[in-house]
Order: sequence, then structure tokens, then C-alpha cells
Amino acid sequence: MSSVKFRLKANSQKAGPVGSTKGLSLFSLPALGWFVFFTIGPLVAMFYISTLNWRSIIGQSEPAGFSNYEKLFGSDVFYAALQTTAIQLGIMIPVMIPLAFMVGYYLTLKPRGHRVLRVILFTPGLISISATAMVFYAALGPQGLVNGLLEAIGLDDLTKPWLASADTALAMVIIVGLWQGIGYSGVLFAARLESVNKDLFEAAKLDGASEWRIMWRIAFPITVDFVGTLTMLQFLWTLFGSAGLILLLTRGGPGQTTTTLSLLIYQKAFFENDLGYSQAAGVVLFVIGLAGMILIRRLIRARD
Amino acid sequence: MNQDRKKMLFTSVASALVLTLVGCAGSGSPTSESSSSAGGDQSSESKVSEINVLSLYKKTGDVPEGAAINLAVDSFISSTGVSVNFTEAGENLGEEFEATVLAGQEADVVIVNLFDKSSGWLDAGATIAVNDLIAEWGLDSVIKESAIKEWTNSSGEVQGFPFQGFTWPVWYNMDLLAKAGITAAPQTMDQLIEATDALRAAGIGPMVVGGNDWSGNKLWLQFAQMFMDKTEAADVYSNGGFCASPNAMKGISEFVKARDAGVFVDGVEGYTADTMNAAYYAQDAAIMPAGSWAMSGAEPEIAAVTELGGLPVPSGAAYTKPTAYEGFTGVGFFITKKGAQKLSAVKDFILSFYQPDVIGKFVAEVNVVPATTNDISEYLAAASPLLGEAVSTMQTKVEFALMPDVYVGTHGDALTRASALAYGPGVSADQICKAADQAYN
Repeated sequence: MSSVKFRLKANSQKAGPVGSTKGLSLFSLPALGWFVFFTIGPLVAMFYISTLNWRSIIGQSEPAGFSNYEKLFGSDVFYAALQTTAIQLGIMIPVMIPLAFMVGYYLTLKPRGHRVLRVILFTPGLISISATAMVFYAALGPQGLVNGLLEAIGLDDLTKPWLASADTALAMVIIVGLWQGIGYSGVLFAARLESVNKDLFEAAKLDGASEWRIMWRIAFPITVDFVGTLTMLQFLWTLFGSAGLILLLTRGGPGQTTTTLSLLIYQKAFFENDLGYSQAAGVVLFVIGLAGMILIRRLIRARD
Repeated sequence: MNQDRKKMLFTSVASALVLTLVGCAGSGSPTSESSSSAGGDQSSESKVSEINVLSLYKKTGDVPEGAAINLAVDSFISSTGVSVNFTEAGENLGEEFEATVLAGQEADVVIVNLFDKSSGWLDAGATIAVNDLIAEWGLDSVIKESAIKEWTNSSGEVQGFPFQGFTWPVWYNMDLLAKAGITAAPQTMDQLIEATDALRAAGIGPMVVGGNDWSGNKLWLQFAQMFMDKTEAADVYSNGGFCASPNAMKGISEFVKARDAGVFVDGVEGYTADTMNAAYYAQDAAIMPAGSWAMSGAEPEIAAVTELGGLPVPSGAAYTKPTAYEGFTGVGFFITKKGAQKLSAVKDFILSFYQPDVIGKFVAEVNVVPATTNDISEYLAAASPLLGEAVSTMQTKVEFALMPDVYVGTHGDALTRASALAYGPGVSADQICKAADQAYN
């Protein structure tokens, strides 16, 4: 780290007079403008809208102070969504990342057909959310593939509408999320592991280490920075981006069983015409996202 | 960071903030004009060459309403010379319209049902009130008074021109019931449970409904209001409070009793309106609650064995006969602010739909229950026999329960998720009422 700082310092000294830095700043203005308007702007708008009483996107809005937050924190629906989000994240991330890492490590062993396997594993990343939802909606429906298979092997009693049953809907959403994420992340891990010096693994093997031991005691510590990055990305995607899939699969139901915070934002804004409440939930989600990122970063650094 | 950079960043962020705030302020109502002033002065209208229509009805493709729509539109074009830019929209019509309003590119006329989103357009200033226009255009004697009442909001403003109504009875496949030894459609809840036992014993599915969507939600709300008078039901549907209402709880308990007695087909919580229709048409289930719009899909042999009735009621209920729904919130015409500037052309366009031959085509080919006072008997012969039954003999067999849509408003989606929970096995009445009340939270 210190060598990096030194090099940066050395480069800036080489850059010459202050005028050049100003020139560079001018060149970066368009990018800065883009960033401010399209990244910070919406963020500011979210905070601002959360202080409005705004019933419809085409309707009048009026200042509401922090009443949307009072409503949010006094609402059972919010806490139910918070709990569902915690369950979703609490299961998905700890299951997905280790499994994806194992898949990635397995791919680096170049088993027979590994190229085809890479393509197959990466496929979920190439399928749109709507296509994914359609496939799983058909498979998990009352007359779907899963129930058909269960009936075919005489397990009729186990058949159920998997996405519509309160007992199984959230589990199904999580399983579909894992299906999407494990293979995709696994291929990314494999790409990172390819750049690790193979001599390290060979030396460990000569010392009698098993593949399991090499994977977790050598490969994992070496790539822990990348594991952290991917964990953070999957955390953010699950927290913010899974609403689309849930909307298509279960619409958040039955009851509130699959309504996550990100879906709650959509429901309140587009179904219930309560934009202020929706954006108050958005602010809370933003804070959770930020806190989660910091936590993951600290956990990874602690291992480093 | 040097001072110049700090200033630059501060200025950029401040600019974005100001623009955002201005943008947000601007995203309020597009106009606060009163509906009367938006009505426009017809005499001051410039020559209109085209009107823009956003429609839930489709005029292209293999749709039952295509011919009727084309008849009305063609008649308008030939009589006025004004062309029609007709945009077909799907279930997202509400979002599509609101996006165009924000862009200042909205259609002149919107053809859609009165639902949670559209019922807010008048208050938001996107559409105009049509109280005066109904009388001025001579439609006060054409449109049923009850239909106009349903389209009137709490401020007394009529939100649009009602056009399509519906009846929403319970369909009984008498052939399947006979196979189970049942000779008459059940009238009471006890009879329904007896029929369920007989049907299941005969290997026939009893009642099918889309437990996972709006169709199941409406049936659940029909149960919930069994013991409530219409005033109480309207209050509970508007404001929530299912758990606090003893009468609502009695109805919900009746629902739980029916569900636990096996009245609904297995896995009903996973069905949708489409799979409900498919199961009934395939004779996999003997009973379903479905609106008049589903009659076009019933093959003649299914229509022949179907008897329309209502949802049986228990003793002590607020109704003495089985209940069904009817309403006139099906489809109607909204005039937008832009449309108000072309009122003469818009008037001719809307009136072209209220011509007797157009209404007749809607009845005969789309199985529409019109919101008009026309005599439709001559067109009923060409329609599904079920529609004829729905507007004649069935009327004496049932009492009409309160149609919840206009009261539930924007809580509809959350309430549908709550009722989806209710169809699942083992969910208690207390859990159901709590989930329903959460929809208003």
C-alpha cells in the first residue's frame, strides 16, 4: 500500500506545474457533471421526495416533514419487509458466495468438459429476469414441472403451489436467486483464480494437502479481496435488484411473505400511490445498503 | 482537495440539488385549473385533424371487441373526417398514461375501466369532470343513472362516461353436479358444503377460483361482507378495520369454514383467473365465480350445462339469497385536459360508441353488459346464452353484494396479496383479518 502511495506521489511530481492539474480538472468536468446529475441528483431527489405528501406521480405534492418516516417506522408492513429482506440476505449471501467459490475452484481444475460447463454455469447471467421468472413460474406452478415430477414418482402428497404457498414462496424466491447467482459468480471466481500462480497449488499438493484444504487454506486467502468485492456486489444486487424477480414471481405475496424492502418501495409508489412513504423506505434501504457494504468491507479487511 | 476543486464540486452538487427540487416541484399537478375551465370553449377550437386515443380495448388482432371498436371508429372517421391515432395498451395502461401526462404527450381520450389509478386522475387534474357534458351531449337519458353514480367521486364529480358494465355470478356446471347426485345449485352454505363432499366423492373438483389474484380477492371480499350491510361494507373496504368489525369477522370465519371443508379445489391458492377459467371449461371443476367477460370463452357445450347463480349464504347473513356482483366500472371514456381542447371531435368520437348498432355489436360479440338503457334483447340472441341468462332469470335468483373496487381504491393490490394468503391451508381468520388490515397500513 505504501509503495502505491509513493508511486502516486512520484507521478504527481512528474506531472509538472499546477496549471496542468487545472487542465485535467476541466477535462473531467463533463464526467463530474454526469455523475452529479445522474447519481447524486436522484439520491437528493429521493431524500427530498421522502419529505413530501405525494399521492400520485401526476398529482400535487405538499411538504410533510418527517411524517412519512413516522408512518414507516410505525407500520407492521415495513417491519415485515425488513424481516423478509434480512432472511433473504441472511440465507442467500452465506450460501451463494462459498458455493460459487467452490464452483470457481472446481472450474480451475479443468475437469473434462469444463469449457461447456463454464457456458452452462454462466447462462443464468445471460437470461433476462422476465424469462427467468417465466421459466420458474411454469415449473413451480400448481400444474408445473415440479409437481408433475412429484406425481410421477408417487409423491402426490408433496405437491403444492410452490410460489403461492405461504410456507414455500420465500424459499422458492431464494432458490431462484441462488440459481441465478451461484454459476455466474462461480465463473467470475474461476477467472480470478486463473491468475493465481499454480505453483502454489502444486507445492501444496506435493506436501500432501487435499483439494479441499488447498481451496480454503490457499486459494481463498489469496483471492479474499475479490471474494469481498463479489460479496458486496451480490449483497447490493440482492438488496436492491431482486424486486423485479419477486414482482414477477409472487408480487410480494401471499400476504407479505415475499415483500422485501425494495419491492415495498415499488408497491407503495406504483400500486398504492404513496410516493413519499415509498421514498422514505428508499432512504432506509440506502442506509442499510451503505451499512452492509461497510460491514462486508470490514469483515474482509479483518481477514486480510 | 484544493479550494478550486472544492468550489467546483460544491457548485455542481448545489446545481443538481436546485434542479432536482425544481423538477420535483414541477412534477406536481400538471394544472390546477378547474374542470369547468378545462372544458374548453368549443367555438374557439381550431380545426381538429386527429384525435389521440389510449385504449384498453383492442381493435387489431384476434380479439372479440375488434369488430365493434372498428365499427365505432370507422363511423366517426367517415362522419367527421377526423383521423384517429388509436393506441392499444395492456394492463399497464395506468402507468403508460401517467408517464405521457408528465411528458405533456397524453392522449385526448382514454378508454379504460375505473380502477385505483384512473379514479385518481380527475383529482390530479389529468382528466376533466363530465357532469355537464353528459347532459349537454344527451347522454343523461342513454346512460343508466346507477352507472353514472358509480363513476361519481366523493366530491360529486363524474369522472368519465360509463360504457361497459358486467355481472359477476357464480357458474354451476349442472352436469357435473348431477354426476355427484346434486340436482340443484346450492343456495345455502350448508348445501354448498354438502355439494362439495358429493363432488369430491365423485372425483370432481368443487369450486375453482384464482386464489392468487383479483378473482380470488373478489370472492373473498364477497365472503367478508356476508354479514355486513352495504354501509358497513363500504366503510370497511374504504378504511380497513376487518379485525375490528364483528360482522366482517363472521364473514371471514365463514370463508375459513368453507375452505377447510374443501369447497375450493386443491392448491387453489396457486390458481389465477386464467387457470380458473381453463379448469372450469375443461370440466375439472364444477363451480366458479366469473364475470360476464368470461362468457365469450365458454364453448356452447359448457354454456349449455352451466347455470348461473350466486354465492350461497349462511343463515343469519345480511342477504337472504345467494350473492353476486354487478357493476358499471368495466370500461368507460375519460377526457383528458388535451382532449378538452378538442371537445367537438371528442364528443363525436365518444358518441359514436353509444350508437345502438355499436352497443348491439358489443353485446352480441363481446358479451358486454352495457351501461346504457337501450333495449338489447334483439342482440342477446347472438350473444352467449349465458349473457341472456345473466341479465334475465339470474337477476331474480340472487342479491347483489357491494362491488368493492371503488371503495378499496389503491389498497386493492395489497388486499389481493392478503386474500391470497387466506386461500392457503391452515391460515386462521385472525391471521387473515390482520393481513387484510395491513393492506391499509
